[in-house]
Amino acid sequence: MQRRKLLQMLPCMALFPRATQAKEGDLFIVVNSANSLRSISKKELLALYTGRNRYFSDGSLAQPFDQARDSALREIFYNTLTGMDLAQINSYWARLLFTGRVQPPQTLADDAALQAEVKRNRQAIAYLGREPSDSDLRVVMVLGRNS
Amino acid sequence: MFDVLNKTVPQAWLRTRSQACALFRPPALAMALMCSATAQAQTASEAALAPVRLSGFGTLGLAQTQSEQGWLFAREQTQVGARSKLSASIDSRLGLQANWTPSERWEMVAQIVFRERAHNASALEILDWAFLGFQPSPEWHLRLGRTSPDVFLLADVRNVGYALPWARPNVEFYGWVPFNSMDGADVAYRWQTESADWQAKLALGEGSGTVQVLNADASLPVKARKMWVLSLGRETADLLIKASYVRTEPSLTPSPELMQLQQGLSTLASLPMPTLPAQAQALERDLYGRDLAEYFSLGLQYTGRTWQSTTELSRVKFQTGMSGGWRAYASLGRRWQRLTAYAITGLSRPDREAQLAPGDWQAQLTPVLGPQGAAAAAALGAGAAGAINASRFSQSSLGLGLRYDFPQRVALKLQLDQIKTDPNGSAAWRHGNANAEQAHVLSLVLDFVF
Repeated sequence: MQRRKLLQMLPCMALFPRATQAKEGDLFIVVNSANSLRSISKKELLALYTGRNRYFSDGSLAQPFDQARDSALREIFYNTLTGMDLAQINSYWARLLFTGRVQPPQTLADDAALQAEVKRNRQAIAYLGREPSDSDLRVVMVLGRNS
Repeated sequence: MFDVLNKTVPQAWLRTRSQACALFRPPALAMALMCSATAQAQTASEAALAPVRLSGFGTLGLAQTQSEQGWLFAREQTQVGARSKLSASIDSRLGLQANWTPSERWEMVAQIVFRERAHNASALEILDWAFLGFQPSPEWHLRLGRTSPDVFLLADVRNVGYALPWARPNVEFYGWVPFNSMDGADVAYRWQTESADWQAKLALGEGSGTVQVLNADASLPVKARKMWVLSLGRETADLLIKASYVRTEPSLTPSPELMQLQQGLSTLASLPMPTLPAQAQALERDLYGRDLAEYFSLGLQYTGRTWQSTTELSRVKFQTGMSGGWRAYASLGRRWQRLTAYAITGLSRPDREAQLAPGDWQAQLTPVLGPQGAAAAAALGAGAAGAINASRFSQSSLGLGLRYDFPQRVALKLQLDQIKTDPNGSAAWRHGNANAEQAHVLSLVLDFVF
C-alpha cells in the first residue's frame, strides 16, 4: 500500500524537482509565488543586491530586502555573493545612496518579517536562513557557502 | 518603500508539489486571481502613500597643521579653511537626504549638507541636490533639477567620508573644484555586455558657488555657464573605470580689490606706448580664469577582498588665468578584517610658470606719469602678478593612514600627510605666500552614516 502511494506521488514530484540539495548554512532566495520568476542566477542576484539592476529578468521591478543590518545572515549573504564583508558593502551602498543613484535594499528584522513582506509584495525578493514551508513563497535559488 | 505599475499579469500560479494538482481546479484558480487583484489594489494605494525615506551621513574631524610659515590647511577652495593650527571645521560635516519614490518610474531626492563654506556663501549652497528622477525603462534614467556633476570618480560623494577609504578626497585632485552642484538636467544610459556594466551620461546646466581665495581670506561668487558634462564608465564586480569631460564658461564676480586691479590695468592698457599696454592687458586677462574651461579625467578604482586601489588623472584647461594644469593621485590599501592601512599620494602641476612682476614699468612710465605715478603703476603690476599667482596650485603630498570599521556603520581614520608646496604654488593654503613650504597635517576623523 505504501509503495503504491509512493508510486502515485512520483509524477507530481517529477514535475517539481528540488532545485538543489540544500545544506546547513545555505541561504534561500525567495520570491512571492505569484512572481513569474522560477530561478535566478548568482549574477542576476548580485546585480539586484548591488544596485546594478532594478528589474527581474522578465522586466518587472524588483524590490530586494535585506536581513537586519548587522546580522550574521546579512554578513554571510554578502560575503558569499560579493566577497565583500559588511563594512565594505556598507561603504559601497553609502556611495550609491548618497550619490542619488539607487537606494539600498530595505532591511527587515528577521526571517519572519521577510517572509511576511515577500508574501504580501509580489515584487519582493529576499533571502532566508531556513527553507520556507509557506506555499506563498517560492525558492528561486539556494545560495551555499561554496557558491 | 513600495512600488506600483507591476508590469506582469499573473498567469499560472505555481505552488508546492503537494498542491500542484489542486491548482487546476476552477475554484482555486478564481481565488488566486481575486487575491492578485486585491494585492494590486493594495500595492497601488500603498505606493500613493509611499513614505519618504530619510538617511544621512556625517563626519567629525580634527586636523592639526604643522607649518614653519604659519600656513593653515584647507581641504577645498569652497571653504574658509582652518582658523588655527588645530581645527575641527575642515572635515566636519553633516548631510541629510530625503528620497521619495511614489511609483516605479518616478523619484524625488533632496540632500542638504552642513559644512564650513566660503565667506559670504549663499545659504542656498547647503542644498546639494534637489531633483526629480524619471526612469522610463531599465536602461534610461533622467534627472531634472539640482544634481552633483558626475565628474571624476568621487566628485558626487566627496562629502560622504564613510564611503571613502581616506580622511578626505585627495586635495591635489579635488581641492580646487569650485562647484559642488549644477542646476539643469542629465540623462544616463546603462547597458550590459557579457563581462561588464556600462554607463554613459550627459548633463547640461549651470553651476554656481562661492570660492575662497585662501591666501587673501577673500571670497568670490563664481558661475559656470553652459556646462556640459560627459562621462563613460565601465564597471565589473571589483573594477570601475571612468572617463569624464566637462566644458563650461566660467565667470566670477570680482572683489573690490580685484576690480581696482582691473581698472588700473585697463587704464595702463590704453596708454600710447609700444609694449607696456599689451603687458597690462595680458595681466588683466589672467587675473582669473574666464571664457572657457575644460576638464578631462580618467579614473580607475579596484576594490578587492584584501587590496583596494584608486587612481585618477585629470587635465584642466583654462583659456586665461593660472588654474589650468595636470592633477593626479594614487592610493593603495590593504584590509585585515576591520582594519585597513593605506597610502595615498597626490600631485598638482600648473600649466604655466609663475607670473613675474613687470620689472621695467617704473622706468617706462616715469617720463609719462612722473616718478610717483610710475612707482604706483609698478606696484599695481606687482600686485596683479601676486593676484594671478594666488590661484596657482603647485604641490604634492604623501599620506599614510589607518581606517577601522566599527559594526554600526561608523569608521575611524587616522591620517598623516606630508605636503610639499612649490614657490608661487600655495593656492590651497590659508595664509599661504609665494615661498615654498613643507607642511604636515595630522587628521583624526570619525565617519558615520544612518
